[in-house]
Amino acid sequence: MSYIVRRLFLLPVTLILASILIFGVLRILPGDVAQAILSQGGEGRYTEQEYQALRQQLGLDRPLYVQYASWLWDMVRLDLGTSMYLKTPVVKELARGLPLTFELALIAWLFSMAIGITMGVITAVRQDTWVDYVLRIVTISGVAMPAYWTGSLVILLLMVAFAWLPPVGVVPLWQDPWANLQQFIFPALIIGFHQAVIIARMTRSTMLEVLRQDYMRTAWAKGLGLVTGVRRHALKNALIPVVTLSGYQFGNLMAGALVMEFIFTIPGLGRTLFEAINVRDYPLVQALVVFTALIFVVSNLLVDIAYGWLNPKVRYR
Amino acid sequence: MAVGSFARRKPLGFFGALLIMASVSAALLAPIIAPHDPVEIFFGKEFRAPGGEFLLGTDKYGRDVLSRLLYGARISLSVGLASVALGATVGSFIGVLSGFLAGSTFDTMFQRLVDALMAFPTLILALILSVALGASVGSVITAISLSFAPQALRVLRSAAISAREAQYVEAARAIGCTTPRVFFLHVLPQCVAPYLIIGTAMLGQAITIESAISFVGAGPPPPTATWGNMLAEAVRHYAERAPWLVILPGLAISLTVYGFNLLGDAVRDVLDPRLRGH
Repeated sequence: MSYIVRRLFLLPVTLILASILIFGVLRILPGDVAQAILSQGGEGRYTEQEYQALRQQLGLDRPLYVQYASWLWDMVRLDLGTSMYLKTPVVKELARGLPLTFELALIAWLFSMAIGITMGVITAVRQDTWVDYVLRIVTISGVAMPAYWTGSLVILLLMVAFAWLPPVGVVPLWQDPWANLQQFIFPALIIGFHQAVIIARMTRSTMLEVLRQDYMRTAWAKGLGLVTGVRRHALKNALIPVVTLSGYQFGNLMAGALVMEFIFTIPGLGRTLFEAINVRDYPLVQALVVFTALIFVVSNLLVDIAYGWLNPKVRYR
Repeated sequence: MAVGSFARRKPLGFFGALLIMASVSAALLAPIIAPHDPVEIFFGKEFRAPGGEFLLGTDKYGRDVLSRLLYGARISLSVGLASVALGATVGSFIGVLSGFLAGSTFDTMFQRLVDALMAFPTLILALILSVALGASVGSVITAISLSFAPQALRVLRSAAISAREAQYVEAARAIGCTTPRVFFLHVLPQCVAPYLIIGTAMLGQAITIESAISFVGAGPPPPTATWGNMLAEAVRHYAERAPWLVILPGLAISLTVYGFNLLGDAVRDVLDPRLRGH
């Protein structure tokens, strides 16, 4: 209990440090957003006066700590500011892209658990058989191959075999769930597969450990069938570290989703983030990155709490 | 010889080492064995399929794919090795110090810093840093090493803490060994094994992240050839027309990362004290 309280206490400290990091990193960049706006992507020309005037207007000429303090104060009041480059409120950009990225990450996460745990259990139970070897080759290649390469290959296959083209927009979930899922299923499967192999390896080793235990021998001696024995006794114990690992991976999943959006032309946060970084759009990048960090840190905390609840040794202390 | 026994004990690791040597030789010998200049444009010879004059074909601008792959190896490998060497070493050393001085202000300060750095997924951190520092090889190296350092710091910190608890350390102190002596002679050597393990494990990751950074356009800009670059161009524009442009760079990345992973696994199997006496 006190462990959780301590962690909750550390959360804002970590986030503030992270926000300082992001703030600092962006500000040391050469070139700034005023330049990007005025030059309109490198084509317009502007005078030094126009440049200074725009800087003043955007508040870029204030000392750094003043800028940071004012930004932090805005954040606390949940005023995420306006994108300097796109001239739209940051919240709007977030609201547009976040659901898509989050949906992709969530579906991918579910896939990774389903595929990973299944593969892991099978390779553990059927250790050293041909099934094990085949699946281990699959898992190893999943680890080495970059996800965006697998994605590209899948797109290649779809284009060549089915004359399919990446769709331009995305149909929202509530409007037409089936079309929406159709578009998400491939990228989610690919990201999910790459995370699944990590989970499979972990499941395999914990499962192997559990299967060697005496209580499993009792189960088999009792005459319990393979499936029942595994399901009732082995699975729960083997899965505890796996579930926590999977939870910690959620951050990497979101990062993977950001890259995958490129290939499958899903207008989520990925494209927004990369464009914003490139034009040094401070408010947008800061808000997006702090938001990502928030999701990451909160999900880690949830995993810690879930572990405390799942592990009977911790729960019934 | 040690190499022979390693090959016999860990055939997979040896295979991984072979793959790595292939990549490394490709990178080192690129200026000698590349048939063409990687940025040289051959007008009228765009999108040639592999075979004939250009062994692995040409790309959109008529550049030789084989030469670009060879020169790309130089970048991927140098970034991977340099960033791991830098990040793992710096992170590990601070980690060992931090663990040795556990509970002090030095330690707490770095712990908070590590927490803050680890609040970002590795790829995102590396991406932001490399965009911040400009799109060049040096900035990608710095970015990736900064993303890996916290991990190394944490692992080595716990290694140092457990090394510190050993009885021989207690004995050393009892007979009056000075603290620096205890640190360098007793604690530090125990931390070499974890350092090598995470170092080799990070190598594959580093190359993956480097190619991901190039893929989204935050790496060395064109016409420099990196594997990630080549893949990005191929995917975004003409996958259907020239499938070899999609397959080949990805294959290069996968095989190299695979080799490093195999080697890393073998190193861990040999050095991890928990798996010893198996």
